[in-house]
Amino acid sequence: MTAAAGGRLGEWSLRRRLFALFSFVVAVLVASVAFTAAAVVHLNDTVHSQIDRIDPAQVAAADFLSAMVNQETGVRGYVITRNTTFLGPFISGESQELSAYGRLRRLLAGERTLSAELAQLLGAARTWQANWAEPAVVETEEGSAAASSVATTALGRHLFDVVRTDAGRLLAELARRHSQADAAIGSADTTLVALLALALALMVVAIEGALFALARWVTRPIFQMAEEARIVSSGDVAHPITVDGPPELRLLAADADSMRRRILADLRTVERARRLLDEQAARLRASNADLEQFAYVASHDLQEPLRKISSFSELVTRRYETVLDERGREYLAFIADGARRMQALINDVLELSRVGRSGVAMAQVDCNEVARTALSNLADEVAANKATVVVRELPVVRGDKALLVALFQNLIGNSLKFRSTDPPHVVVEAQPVGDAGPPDGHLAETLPAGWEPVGDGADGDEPPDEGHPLLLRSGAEYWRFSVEDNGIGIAPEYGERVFAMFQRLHRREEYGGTGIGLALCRRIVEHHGGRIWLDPSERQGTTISFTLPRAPALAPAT
Amino acid sequence: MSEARGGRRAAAPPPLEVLFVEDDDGDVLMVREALREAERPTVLRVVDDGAKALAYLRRQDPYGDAVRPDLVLLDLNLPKVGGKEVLAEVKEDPALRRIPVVVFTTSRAEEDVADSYDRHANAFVTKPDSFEELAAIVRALDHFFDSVAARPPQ
Repeated sequence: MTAAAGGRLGEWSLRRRLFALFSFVVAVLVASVAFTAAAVVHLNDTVHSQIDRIDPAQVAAADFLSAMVNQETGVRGYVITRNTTFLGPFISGESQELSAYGRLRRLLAGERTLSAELAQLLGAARTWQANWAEPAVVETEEGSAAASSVATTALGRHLFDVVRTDAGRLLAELARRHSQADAAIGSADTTLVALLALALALMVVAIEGALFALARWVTRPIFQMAEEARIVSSGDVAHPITVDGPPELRLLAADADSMRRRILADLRTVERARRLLDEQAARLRASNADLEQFAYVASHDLQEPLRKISSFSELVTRRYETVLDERGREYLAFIADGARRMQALINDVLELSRVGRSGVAMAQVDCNEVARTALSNLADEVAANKATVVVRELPVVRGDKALLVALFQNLIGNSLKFRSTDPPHVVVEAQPVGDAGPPDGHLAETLPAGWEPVGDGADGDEPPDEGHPLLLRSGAEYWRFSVEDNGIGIAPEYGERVFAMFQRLHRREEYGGTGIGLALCRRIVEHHGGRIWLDPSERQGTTISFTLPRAPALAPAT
Repeated sequence: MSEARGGRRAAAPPPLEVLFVEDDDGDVLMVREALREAERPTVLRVVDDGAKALAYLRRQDPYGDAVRPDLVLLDLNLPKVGGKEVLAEVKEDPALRRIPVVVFTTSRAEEDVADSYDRHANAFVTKPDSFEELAAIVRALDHFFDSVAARPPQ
């Protein structure tokens, strides 16, 4: 039965439960108040009946008796003394008696026993008056002595005793009623106190019950759910969120659980994707290792036969020069030249493939030093071409120094190689810019013709208080370097092509090289997170610009 | 000048004993050609893999009566035991570590240079592309270890 009730209750919604609970508490409160009110009304009635009826009735009954005694005394006095002054009390007693009777009748109306007793008393009083008092007065007035006779006196006394007895009985009854009412008040008091105590207890029980029910239906399930959510959030994502309690909270828990399952499913997807990525990364690493292995093998095993070709064609030329004719020597020269070119190509491709895989960590690199190294590597070419190379103040960047040297060397070397008939003039400079890409308005930003000497660095727009002309302006994330020459130039339509591998614009007989130089430059720049492009220029010559991200530390090396 | 120094010695030093660890017959031929033009005679012994090189140095079969070389020319790219392993073995062996070892290889790779010196190679020389240069380098090495540098005591 309890289980069945519990089962039914289990299906009750929280709203219904709370409604039932508050209804019950309200019912208990109303009942308590009603009982208490009834008890108070009862007590009130009892007190009123005592104060308004019993007590005045007692007084009236006493008055009645006293009026009768006054009458009796007056009549007796008159009969004995014949003095009419005694009739005063008799007459006033009569009116007192009537008044007392009137009050009594009014007070005792509805009280059958008391009314009967009152009627009996009145009867006794009338009998006494009619049979003794009035005849005695008349006889005394007429001068007869019969009234004072022993017999008459005895009759009067007897009749008056009846009055006394009846009055006594009435008084006694009234007194009984009085004490009865007293007792009733006392008991009503007790009942009231008991009722109040009972109501208080009931209210306490009801409120305790309500609190208990609230804890059981609301607080406990919420705490339970919070606990389960904590278990889930602490990492046990497989832990289901369930709650015992009202349907609303079970529904809430079910919603939270379906959210958990959804997130879990997403997590599994992410996990799968991550595993896939890991596998791909591992495959890439393996493929990279293969490539490195290939590069190593290429540097040894591909070069070995080439070296043999060139060395032995040389040996043949040396040892058998006299045996060979001019054509034979020419053929041998082609063999040797082909082998040498192949070797140069292999070396350049190897260098290209090593960019970013050399394992050298990026470090703070002073580009002034990089440019000095590149220029000292190019010293012969600079001297042979009678070139002037102006390197302005360059910043410190984060990079791989050997690669940056190769970058500068390739670009300056190109400027020397692709020279016009004028002596080569090369300017290398850098300025801070906001982004890595080639600017849309680059033509407007290129410096006016007329180079300034190294170290002058007095660009008018640099803030003077920053001390160093190359300190980054706010928002500048990159350095834009440019290598500008007065050489043969590159037509703008080849601006992209020159950076592709093995792309040449000139016959090898005019300008040597493998066609890898600018491809290597692009790879180095992109490895550093920058971009490289050909700056179209209306002047004679070529300007190659590239960007490198600014180093975290801004201070240039001294 | 070398004759003047040689004159102070009791007798002219014996010819330089060179062990050439090389599997490429072309290179062996070129080195022989180069040494043929050298001023002093040189004994060139050739083994064509790393295992044989170690056996030769330790006078193991079939090299029981091998002469301890004054110089080892070591290629890195060898069958069986690689050149770097041979180098490491030699330089870890107290009986062999005094023998100068010159790594003589096609490689220009920085890591090969670094690895070789880390394993205490006495020099790292890249084989040049032309015979002329190769011959010059071989003769220079021969002259240096024969007449300039002191030979380690046996």
